[in-house]
Amino acid sequence: MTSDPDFAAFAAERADALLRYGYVLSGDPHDAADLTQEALARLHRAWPRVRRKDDPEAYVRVVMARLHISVWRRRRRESLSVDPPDRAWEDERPSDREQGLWRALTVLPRKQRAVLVLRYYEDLTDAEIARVLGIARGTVRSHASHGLARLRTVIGDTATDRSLR
Amino acid sequence: MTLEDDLRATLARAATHAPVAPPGLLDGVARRRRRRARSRLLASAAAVVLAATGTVLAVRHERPEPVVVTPSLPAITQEQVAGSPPVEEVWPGAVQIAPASLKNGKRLRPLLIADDHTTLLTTWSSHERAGAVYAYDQRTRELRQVTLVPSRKGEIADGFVVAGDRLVWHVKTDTSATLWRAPLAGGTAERLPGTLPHVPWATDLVRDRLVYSAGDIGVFSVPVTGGPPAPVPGGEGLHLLEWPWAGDPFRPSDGEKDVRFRRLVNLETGEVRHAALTPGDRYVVCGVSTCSGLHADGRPYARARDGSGERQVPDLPQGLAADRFMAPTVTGRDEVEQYVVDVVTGRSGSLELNVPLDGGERSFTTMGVTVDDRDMLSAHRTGDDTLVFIDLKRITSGS
Repeated sequence: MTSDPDFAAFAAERADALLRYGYVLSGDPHDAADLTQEALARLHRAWPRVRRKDDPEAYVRVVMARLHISVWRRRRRESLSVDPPDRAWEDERPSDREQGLWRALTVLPRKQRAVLVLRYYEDLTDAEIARVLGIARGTVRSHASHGLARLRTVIGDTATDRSLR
Repeated sequence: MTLEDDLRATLARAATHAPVAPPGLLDGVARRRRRRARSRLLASAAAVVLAATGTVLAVRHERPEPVVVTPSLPAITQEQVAGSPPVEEVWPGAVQIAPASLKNGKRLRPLLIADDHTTLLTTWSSHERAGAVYAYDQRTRELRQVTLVPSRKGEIADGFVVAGDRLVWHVKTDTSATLWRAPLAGGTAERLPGTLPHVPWATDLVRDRLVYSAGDIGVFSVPVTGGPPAPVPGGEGLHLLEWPWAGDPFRPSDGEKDVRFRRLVNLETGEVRHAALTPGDRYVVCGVSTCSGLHADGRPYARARDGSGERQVPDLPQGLAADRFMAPTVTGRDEVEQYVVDVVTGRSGSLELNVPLDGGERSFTTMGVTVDDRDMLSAHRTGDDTLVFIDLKRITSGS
């Protein structure tokens, strides 16, 4: 990568932020590393063009979102360590409700999850989400409402389960 | 709180639990690229020509005099580094090797080097939570438990230092910390009196006191036997690099042009040191006596804080460990290897990680070296399941 110091520097600087994004998109640290690596590899290939015309960060985030919802199957070409982070967590104690929600997100279809992550983590508007994922704005709204409804159901189910014990 | 608010909070918090980028992540990117662009890379590598003359650079701020930057040392290249002998052959006496797991399969993590034949290791239950501390003796090859580390969920045991015949550490929550100690010979952990109203970082033992950074509040000290902490005069708002040197805290938002630890303050004498700057440099990280960074033309370098003794290095370091060590990874035909390079002497040793390029599902870790590594480096040799410890202070004091 030394031949492309701008790219190397961008990748080094943004890798952690992209991993965080990959992690909330996929819910899995291995998938987060794979998504990040594949998206950075694609950015690397497109680097001269992207650097000239676009924002590399926006580009790589779009690639990650699209990879995640596509039929792309994670190819573990590189097996990366996902050991616990070597730094202190600012806060280790999510509430039961947050833990429940995080688990509930895993049951959502990928597109629904991606729409919710783009809306509530990336704070994108529905129009922006439509552009990022390459789908119609109406589809964004329907994925969001189905996703939220599903989460409500799952969270509700969890609460019921607990009260029965 | 609506579901949407909860979702926002959940995603934001989950993001903080994401893995941090291992250096291997970016190697993989380079490797994928290399498959397509091998010939172009070779061509561009061959085209690198170094100017050997001194250059006078105008430096703004602080220094009225221009700094003469002389590339006085030969470049260290990837080709020179690749194929270096194992670190234990290059720096015998400074390297210790310990097992990476207990007999029951529990993994061990490197903690510190206690003396020239003993390393300390820890098991951990989850994330940063240490479970128990073990000592491994190179001479007897004996692994023994030193103590159990009591911590509750959400608490992190950190800042382990050896103070005489005891091990001292702190257990921190989000806002405060308590000090603990246990005999190195083995025994129960006891809590020391007092509570620190800080989250300590970069703990160091100075005579009979622990010194530490408290976020960007400043530098504090506390008796190693416990008690109330006191601010270190002159340390307000500073972050401890290595006692007695402290500098401005790191702010990720400062961007690529920011120079980390550009200004250092000696907390014992009040001396202030500024690092020389070359306009256009990026990712500059300074230590007590050296800086590393990337010139505007893309050459990664290491040099003294005053700009002298510059040499080109094989990769962009995120600061030099103990002011002179970096650990570039080199991709060969069949495997990736990581090397420790002493930029002062130009010597390099292989960590012997032997990471196969087609490693399948097996995971590996490479070592991330930063300017905050002052005493030692450690890495996990996945293949033979050992931990390698490199005592940087022994190397620097011996040359």
